Amino acid sequence: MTIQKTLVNNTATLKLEGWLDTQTAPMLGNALQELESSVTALVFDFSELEYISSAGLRQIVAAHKKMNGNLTLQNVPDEIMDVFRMTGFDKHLNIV
Amino acid sequence: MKTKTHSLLKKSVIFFCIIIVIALFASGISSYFYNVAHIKKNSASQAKAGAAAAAEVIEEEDFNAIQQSATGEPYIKARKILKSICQSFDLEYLYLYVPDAENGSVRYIMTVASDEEKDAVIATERGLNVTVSATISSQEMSAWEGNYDYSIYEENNSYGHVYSWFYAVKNSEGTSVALIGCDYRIDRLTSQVVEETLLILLPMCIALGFIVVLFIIFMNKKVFAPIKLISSRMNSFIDERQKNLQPLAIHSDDEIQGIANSFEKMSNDINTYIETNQKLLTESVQAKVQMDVASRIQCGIVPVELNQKEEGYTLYGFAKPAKEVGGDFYDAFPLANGQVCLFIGDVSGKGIGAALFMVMVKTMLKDGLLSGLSPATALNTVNDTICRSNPEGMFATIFVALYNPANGELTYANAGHTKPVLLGDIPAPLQVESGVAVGLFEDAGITDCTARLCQTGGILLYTDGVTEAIDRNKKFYGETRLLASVKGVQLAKDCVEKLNGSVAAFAGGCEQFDDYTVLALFRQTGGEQKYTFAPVLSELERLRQILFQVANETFDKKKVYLACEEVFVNIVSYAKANQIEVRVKEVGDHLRVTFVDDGLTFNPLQEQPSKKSFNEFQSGGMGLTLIAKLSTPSYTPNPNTLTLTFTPKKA
Repeated sequence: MTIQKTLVNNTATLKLEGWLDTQTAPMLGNALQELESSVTALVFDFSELEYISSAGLRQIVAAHKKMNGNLTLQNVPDEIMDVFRMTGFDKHLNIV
Repeated sequence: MKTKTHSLLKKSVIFFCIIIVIALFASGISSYFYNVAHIKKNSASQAKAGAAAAAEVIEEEDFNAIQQSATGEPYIKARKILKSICQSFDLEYLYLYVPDAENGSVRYIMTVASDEEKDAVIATERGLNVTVSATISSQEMSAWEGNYDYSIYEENNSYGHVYSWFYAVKNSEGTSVALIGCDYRIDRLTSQVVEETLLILLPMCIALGFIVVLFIIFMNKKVFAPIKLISSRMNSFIDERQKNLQPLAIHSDDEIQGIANSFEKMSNDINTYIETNQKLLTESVQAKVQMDVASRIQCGIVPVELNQKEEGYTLYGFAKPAKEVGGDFYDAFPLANGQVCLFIGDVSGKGIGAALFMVMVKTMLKDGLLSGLSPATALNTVNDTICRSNPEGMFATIFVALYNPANGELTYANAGHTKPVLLGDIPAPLQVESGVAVGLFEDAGITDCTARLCQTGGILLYTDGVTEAIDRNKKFYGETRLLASVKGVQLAKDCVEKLNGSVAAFAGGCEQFDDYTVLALFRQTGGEQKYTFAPVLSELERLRQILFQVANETFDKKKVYLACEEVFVNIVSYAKANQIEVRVKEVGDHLRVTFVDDGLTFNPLQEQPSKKSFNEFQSGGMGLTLIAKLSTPSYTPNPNTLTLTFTPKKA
């Protein structure tokens, strides 16, 4: 998995590409920790995300907490969306 | 076989001798009879003349005076004259007598003989007035009457075998008073005849003998000797073949020379023929050796029998070349990614050329497939390579398939080969484009197709030697019989053996002219595949690869993996296991994945998904939710056995 980060004003956008699973989830964890303190809003671009497992979901929860809910998910593919639905994430996240 | 031969020379000598003997005999007989007649005539005239002369003498003398006394002068004188006549006419006896026909007797007056001793005896025995009884012959009667037109009288008595002639003695009145008889001896006549005959035959004999000898010498030189020479050459023709190349020493201008010339020409022709034959024989022996070597090499390249029984499939191949080196080929081998590659092909033509081409094509194709090319790509690559240099214009029809034992999927491509049969409840030809045989055109554009074998399904690859097997009526075996013969079979070897049996029964021992090759693969039914993992997260990648391979396209592979990842991570994180075994099996249209670990007993299904707030999910708990949503899980302990059952994805 690769993570592409862009920072516009105080909004950081992380574009995830590939598989977000048990083994790659720590990469996202590191990326979140490394976010500048000035960042007040976070956007995940999932357009190139192919897979997500519970380890990935946990990192999304962590990000949600860290941003105090100021998290937006965009370009979520259907098969990722399926997983969100199964776990009820779709009801808690701001998905655009 | 040797039969006794008789020399023609000997035979002709015998033949000529027989001819001469017959000729001499015939001429001897004829000259004998001629001489007999001739001498008889001579002696008759002699006897006639003698008798006439004697009669004349007696008539001149006084017949009565003569009869007076045997010692009288007239008697002695007459006797003397008669004797001299007898001697001078070379007669045996001369006698004067008076026949008495009435009494049947003869009264002698005098008798003389040429021989002195006989004369002395006869002078008294048949002297004057000696009367003997006798039958008077017709000749005597005729002479008595003065008629001498009678045939000579022949008599054989104590005085010898004689011819007799009679003449009448007449008195002055012309009346017959006595008869003069004269005898001419026949035995003397016979010896004379023989002598004269021999005198004629002897020179004839010598002349004939001389001619025969000359003829035989000529024939021997001109005919027998050359024939003998040719015959001996013929006899020793093979032993002295080199010597026979010398021309025959026969110099003439006749038929024998013709035979000699013909024989020489024949010898030369035969020698040329033998040399050509020996050369051909040597070449054919070399060719046979090469064919044997090629045949052995081919058996190494195209196995007569191939039998594999692995997890997930059974595979059986069988090849029977029609000639020593055939053009059919096939192979089956596993690939590194767990798939099985199988292909079958038929090269145009037969013999060494076809075999070489076959080896080249097969090697290239196998290399391509082993390096991971898809069937179509491998075929297109081989085709392009061959088309760049194919001086003999050879081509091959090939069908290639990759089989995934994990999910029964087939990926295949066809280059002009006979369509394989998809084996299931009802065997049917596999739906595939015919494609173009490799070696014909560049840019063949062969494409891959996919199909999936059902639980007990299989695929049968074959060459046209199967469907074109002929019976004694030259009728083809055909696809219909093939499809019927493999109905209901579920194992590769069983399938091939049933087909072979059906074809053999159809052909009924008729010689087949095409190679016969079949390759069958069956999905192994009821097989469960087991994989063992170390309890570390780095094994996840392998688990993913396996599941993606094993799960067929009817399943959402990512979702299957997602559930399995959650289970695996749970075991790694909490169970403290030494190893994790994962079993995968298709059950009906479901996929069953079972995790067995030797760690702490733990039933994850007892843990009800908690009603945590969203933010609490950071510590976990979603895994179980996902597992339950994605599959139907079940658990049994000792050892921990968690089974997830997946259904096919919705269309």
